Amino acid sequence: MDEAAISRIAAWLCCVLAARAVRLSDWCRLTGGAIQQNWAVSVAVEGGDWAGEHAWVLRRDSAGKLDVSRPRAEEFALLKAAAQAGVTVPRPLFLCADDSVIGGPFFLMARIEGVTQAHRIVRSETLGGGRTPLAAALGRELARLHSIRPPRDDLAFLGGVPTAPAADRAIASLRAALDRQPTARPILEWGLRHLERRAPPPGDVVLCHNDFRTGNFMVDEAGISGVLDWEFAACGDPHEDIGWLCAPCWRFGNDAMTVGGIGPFAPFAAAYEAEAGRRIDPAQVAWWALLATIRWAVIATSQAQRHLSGAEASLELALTGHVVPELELDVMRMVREQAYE
Amino acid sequence: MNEQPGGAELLAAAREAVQKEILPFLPAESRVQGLMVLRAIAIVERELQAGADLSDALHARLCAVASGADPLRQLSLDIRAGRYDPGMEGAATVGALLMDLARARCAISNPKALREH
Repeated sequence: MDEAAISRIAAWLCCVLAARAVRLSDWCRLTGGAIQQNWAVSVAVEGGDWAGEHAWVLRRDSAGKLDVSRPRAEEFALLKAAAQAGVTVPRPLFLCADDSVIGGPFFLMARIEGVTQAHRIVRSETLGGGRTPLAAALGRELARLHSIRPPRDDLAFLGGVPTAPAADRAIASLRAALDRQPTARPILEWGLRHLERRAPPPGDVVLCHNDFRTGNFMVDEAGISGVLDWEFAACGDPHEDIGWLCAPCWRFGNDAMTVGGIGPFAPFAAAYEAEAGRRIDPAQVAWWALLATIRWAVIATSQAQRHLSGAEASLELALTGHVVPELELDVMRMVREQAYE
Repeated sequence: MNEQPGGAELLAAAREAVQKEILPFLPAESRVQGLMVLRAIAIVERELQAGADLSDALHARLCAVASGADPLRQLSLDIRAGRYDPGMEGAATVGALLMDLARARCAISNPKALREH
């Protein structure tokens, strides 16, 4: 963050907070976020209702922005809606849609403390209050999120309630993505065809996070301190988020723990059902977990393609392509298991 | 005739050097990048050891079920069209081929995942 940008942010905030003066210090880029940048910043406000010291985070777009991710203004609205629904999120504070301040939209949110690193979370017996309590807490968070039902005026950018079933839309969008790629992927097609033949009936239409997995929420010793990364949220079936969270590819080596490598499924499901008043169908979770595996494989191939095409040369993106074979093995194994059920 | 040691031996030596002489001295913020370099070298080593892009045997099996200039695409189209749904002729052959293909690709990209299954 350069000096000129910092003084423009301070001037803008001064105006928004109706303050006499605003001082910004201790800028520190937070790890994670290939698509967005998160900057921790200390904010000292003189005068006005916000007078005092604050620890905030500024969130802005990175250079290598994905087309599919939601703009910051929409993410800000999603955070507000989630907070109102009782989901634990970093409190959204102020949105700046004026490109003249730092060259693109950004927003400020309260800074939360804790751990996001998936490998640390799945190895710990105590983080988040322990495995079973944390699995249950994840169920409650997801249930609260799924209480948000479009259409809503504040979430008008989500569009109307889709007419096609979520399962059909998911398969069609993955096939379209595969058709845009230079290499055909018969194993992913095998999985998609299997899913197509066993597509679940249409269910409730709710707001789905669409990237709710270990690594995208912060936990402290007591529990979940915040659900992060809302840029893929959209209308969908509640089982969609549950399948993504429980897919084998998001267990980070702790395969025995179905819920994101963290805890068992039963306490998660019980907490979800109690909070949501809606039953979880395990067969539909399995269906969406297979779809999740294929979806991650498709995303990984397009990330590798960003490197291959020269759009964004990066060793990280290049290596992401090499997770595809293990996902393909998961697909073959899951198809085989489901075929005997 | 290229000079020896060749690619595979040089990469193995480079991997050793990164692992033992560079990685321990990297600052914490560069460690992940160092580990990624190691992973990339290991993939290339396995790729070199395996030889051809796809083993001749697997390629022959692929061509037995899908013809044309791009058999992977042809097979993909056939699967999508339902030609190899359960009970259809050749379904078991294609299922077995795809499983072996997944395993062979995994053996290059991440053999650890192979052992877990």
